[in-house]
Formats: sequence, structure tokens, C-alpha cells
Amino acid sequence: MVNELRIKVLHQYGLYYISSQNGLMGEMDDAALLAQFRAEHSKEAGFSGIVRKYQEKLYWHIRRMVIDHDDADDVLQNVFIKVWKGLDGFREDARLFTWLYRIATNESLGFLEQRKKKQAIPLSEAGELTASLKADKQFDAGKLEWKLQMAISQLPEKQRLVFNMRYFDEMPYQQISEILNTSEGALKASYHHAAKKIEDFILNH
Amino acid sequence: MSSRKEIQQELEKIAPELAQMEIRRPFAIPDGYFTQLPAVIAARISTLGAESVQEESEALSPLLSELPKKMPFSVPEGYFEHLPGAAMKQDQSAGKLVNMPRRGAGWRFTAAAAVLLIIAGIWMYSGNHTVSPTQTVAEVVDDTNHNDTAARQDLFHYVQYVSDDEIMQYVEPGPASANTYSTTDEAASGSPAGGEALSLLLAGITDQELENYLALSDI
Repeated sequence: MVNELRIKVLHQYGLYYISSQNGLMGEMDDAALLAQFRAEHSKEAGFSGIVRKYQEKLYWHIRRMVIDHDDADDVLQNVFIKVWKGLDGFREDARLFTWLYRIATNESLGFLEQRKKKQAIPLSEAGELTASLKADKQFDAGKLEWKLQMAISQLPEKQRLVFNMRYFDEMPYQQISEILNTSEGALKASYHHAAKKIEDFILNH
Repeated sequence: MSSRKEIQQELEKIAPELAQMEIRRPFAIPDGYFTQLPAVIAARISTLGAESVQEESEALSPLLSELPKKMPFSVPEGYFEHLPGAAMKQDQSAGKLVNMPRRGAGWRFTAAAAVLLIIAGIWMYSGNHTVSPTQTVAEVVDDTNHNDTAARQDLFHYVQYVSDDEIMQYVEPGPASANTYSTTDEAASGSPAGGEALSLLLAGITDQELENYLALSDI
């Protein structure tokens, strides 16, 4: 339990306690982070706060798409460079979280597209992702978590995105809809198809 | 965020087997990755506005930017002063190298001629032909059976390698050869017999072929 005096001190420095799970320092909410970023003297501190707050969520979103850590790291760094360049123009009619996810999604898809073009021997996207999974040092085809990843890698791009965002990131459809610019009905259908295909794959492999 | 319970209930309806599975995250990340990432990104961002290499180095690594850029390698004394002259010398010697193929080609022609002479010598003194080296050209021609292909080939080779003097002796006007080569001379002289013979010879030849012949022979 955080005492009120500590919360008061945090507020004086523009910090807002959000969740007891995150400890005393908590996280600044997006509005406070953006305000900090827009003030010239605290621009870098505000940006650093955004990176710290969202890096893990965005990293895993990207990693599940590109599979390899080094690729995910490259894409994530590029995402934050784009955020730095574009944050001045960010309008708060969209949520910061949604905006960041949209950039991360586009960067991941762009990366996959570029990788496909560079392949000397063109593979299908599923083939490429399967190869990346098998190249992981920890890969163990007998383990359920790897079977699930193999199953996800067989999905079409859109279904893969929707399944990851819903199943792993536990996002509401309305938020996925904002990020992918797709109707909630279409997203529900995608998730339904994806879940059925994954179940079939796991049961048959 | 949707609650885990809500997502679980949805999944149980769609894919009950999948909903029952307890699945862990399989991917690993390097230790301390998320601790270091904000600093890595900050360093990259600080290079965005850098206009010079020095500014960029300072932003990326202050240590690197402060290191002396002096090269630890050494060059021989006066190396750069003598370099232009040395380069010109190289250029001249490169010019001589260009001539090499000509000298090489001459040598090759000499070698080829020598080989041909040896082959001709072997042919002349070998028993595979019917021409004796002591025969005159006239004797060889007279001995040649014009219906025998091998004999005609022997004659052909013989004529190629026989000396100019012997050939000149053979083509000197004489009673035997005059009949053979006189047809066109008679025609040119305007004698009636010659004109008739020429008319017979040219009967099957078109005007175009004649013009071609005259053009080629520069008459």
C-alpha cells in the first residue's frame, strides 16, 4: 500500500501512481509523459519515460511477428526513432498506446516484406517464419509452446496479428480495431479462424 | 485490456482444446535487454541531429570521440615525396609491357615458320609421296596422272614448296607449254582462229560474270 505522502511527492514531479503491481514509483500516465515531452527542458526525460513504459509490450508484439531477437531489436529501435521524430505531431485524438502499436505493426510488416525481397531463394512467409523458429537455440519441437509458435507461423499475416494481440496481449477488439483499422466483426472472424487452425495444428502435429 | 477470464471464456467456445493448454512464452531475450534499451535508443536519437562525424562520435561514444586519431603505422622516410616519380616509372614500364605481345607474336611466327619447314622437309624426304626431290617441275607435271586425286595433291604440295627459279624455268615459253597458255593471247591478238575459240569459251558466260572478271583482274 502506497502512502498518500509518497503519492503527493510523486505528483509534484509529474509522476502518477498507476498500479500497485508496478511498485512505488509506478508509471506516469500517457498524458503526463506527453506533457513532459512537450516541455523543452524535460523533452528527453519524457521520451525516456515513454520508452520505458512501452518497450516490453512493443518488443513482444514485434518479436512474435519477426521471431528473431536481433531482428526484433532492430525493428523496435526503428519504431522508437520514428516515435521521436513524429511525437511532436502526435494528436491526442488517438491514444498513445494505439499510435505506438500501429507504428510497431507497420514496421514489423515492412521488415518482413523487405526480408522476403532479399531472399535468394524465395520462401513462403510461413516457410520463412518456420525457418526462423527452428533457428532459435531454444527451439524444441516437442514442447507445446514451440508447437503453438509453429502453428501461428502457418497463419496468414492478418490472422497472425489478430491472434497475437488478442491471445497474448489480451487487447479488446475495439483497440485492435483502432490499430489495424479493421472492423471489430472482421477481427472476431479472424481470431475465430486463427484459433481453430491453431488447435487443429497442435492436435495433428 | 480485456480480462484474461474474458479471453479464456471466448477461447473455450472457439477452440476448447487450445483453451485447456497451459502455454508458456518460448522466446528468450538477452539479460538486461530492457534495462539497456532506453540508453541505446537515446544514443541513436542523439546522433540524428549530428552534422559532423565528430558530433556523431561524441553522441555515440564520448570515449571514442576523444581518442587520438593518429595512425600507429609508419611509412619509409620520404615515401610520399618520391611517390609521384615512382608512379611515373611504373607507368613507363607499363608502356614497355604493352609492346610485349608484338615481340611475342614475331617470335611465334618464326617458330611457326620453322615448324612448317620441318614438316615440309619431312614430307619431301618421306616415302609417302610420288615426287622425287631431283625431278624438275616439268617432269613432275608430266608424270602426274590428272585423274588420280592423291597424285594431284602431291603436285599441289610440290608446287607450293618448289623454288621460285624452278617455277620460272617451267613457265618460260616453250614448245610444250605454249599451246596450253596461248588461247587468250591469240584472241587478244585479233586472229580469226583466236576470236572463234574465245567466242566458244565465252558462250555460256553472262555479261555480269564477265564484268566481274574484268573488275577483279584489273584489265
